[in-house]
Amino acid sequence: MSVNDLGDGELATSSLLNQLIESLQCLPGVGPKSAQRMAFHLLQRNRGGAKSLSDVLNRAVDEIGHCKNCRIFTEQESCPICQDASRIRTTICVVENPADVFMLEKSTDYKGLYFVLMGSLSPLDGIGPQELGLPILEKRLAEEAVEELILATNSTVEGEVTAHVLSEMAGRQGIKTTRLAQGVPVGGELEFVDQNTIAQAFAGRKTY
Amino acid sequence: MARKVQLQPAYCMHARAYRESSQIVDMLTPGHGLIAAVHRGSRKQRGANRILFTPLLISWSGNGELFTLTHVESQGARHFDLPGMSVVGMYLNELILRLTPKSSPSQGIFDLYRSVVMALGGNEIPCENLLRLFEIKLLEKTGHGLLLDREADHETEIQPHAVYRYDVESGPVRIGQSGPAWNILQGTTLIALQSPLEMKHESRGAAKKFMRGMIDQHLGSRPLRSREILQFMRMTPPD
Ligand SMILES: [Zn+2]
Repeated sequence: MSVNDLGDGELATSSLLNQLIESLQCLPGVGPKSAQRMAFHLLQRNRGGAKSLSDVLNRAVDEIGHCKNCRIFTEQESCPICQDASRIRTTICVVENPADVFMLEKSTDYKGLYFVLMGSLSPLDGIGPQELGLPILEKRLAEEAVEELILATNSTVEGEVTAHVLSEMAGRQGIKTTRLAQGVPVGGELEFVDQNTIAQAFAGRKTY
Repeated sequence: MARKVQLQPAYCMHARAYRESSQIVDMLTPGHGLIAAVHRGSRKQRGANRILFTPLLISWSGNGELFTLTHVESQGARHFDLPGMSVVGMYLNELILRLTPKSSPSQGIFDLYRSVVMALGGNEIPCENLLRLFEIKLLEKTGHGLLLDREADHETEIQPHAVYRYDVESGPVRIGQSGPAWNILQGTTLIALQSPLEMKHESRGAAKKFMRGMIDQHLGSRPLRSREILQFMRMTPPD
């Protein structure tokens, strides 16, 4: 679907240029036309920017892994949030995506810790408890002095099922769970919700 | 030539993110069987992720393997809202997707699915019994029907206290001694499976083990992923 759209207009002048245009299309929302525009812009007007983009992209892909505690992206073994002594260690907020952590950090005054699932339980996509790191979280709940688990998964069926499994898991260890309640539209994904709504939903979380 | 299909009853079996804001959905319909279609912009639509376990009317167009949904409306409320039930629902959906051939019309499979999700929401019949009914009927409607009331010779009646080895190709064969294999079972279990909705508590364990083994025979080497969630929920040790 992607390259064929270029059709007969495909550029024969440089195969490297074609490769660049094709590679840029791995970005979300970038089709053949905008990829072509980006490639020309980088080569024509901003080679310096292109160079540093390619350097940092290379390093990011090589060096950024997951925090061993919360699974968020970091190039350290343990991320700055987990290492921050001022954060409240009795609360863990579980989210589906690293982007959700950024959003919550920006729009709420939450000072606890996180756990990033990197998805939601979706058996038909091959995503089960192992893939989401639930055994890691379970171990943390058993070993750390956690008092509240905030279930900030999306309000999709998969997100709800994930929240349900998490609440059972926490319940067995006597840990309270709360769930974002008001504001997030039913069926909505956090990523597409505006900041105010997130802030409201976060403040209005309730026992789950 | 692009084909247009208007306002068909449907259930969504699975939706996965596609590109920026769309989804690819697998729909079960009576008239066209399982179809896959792009639901454009659906990830940004309010409530679009709530279409699982909800009776729908859908229209689609296109040709080939992947259609485009042109209309989706719910024909009623979601059959259940408890997340625990959704895990069970995902198991039904996975079975449908794994055992039903694509694009082969089946009113029977559609009706079976509808009646079981409705009953799950109704909360009157034990969930385990509904699952056994679903498994038995689905195997039957996909050409793998079980022989539960006679031995493999299609004549000798099943005796409650006899022990049988169920041969996948031909049916139950009476044997002398019980054993641990999934397909060795008591006559009582076969008899209980003849009317799964009335199954008593004491038959459920053996019936489940047998049906699980039987379904695995028809799935090939890839295991059912929704079982892992159910297992994880139970495995978490109490206290
Ligand atoms: Zn961390």
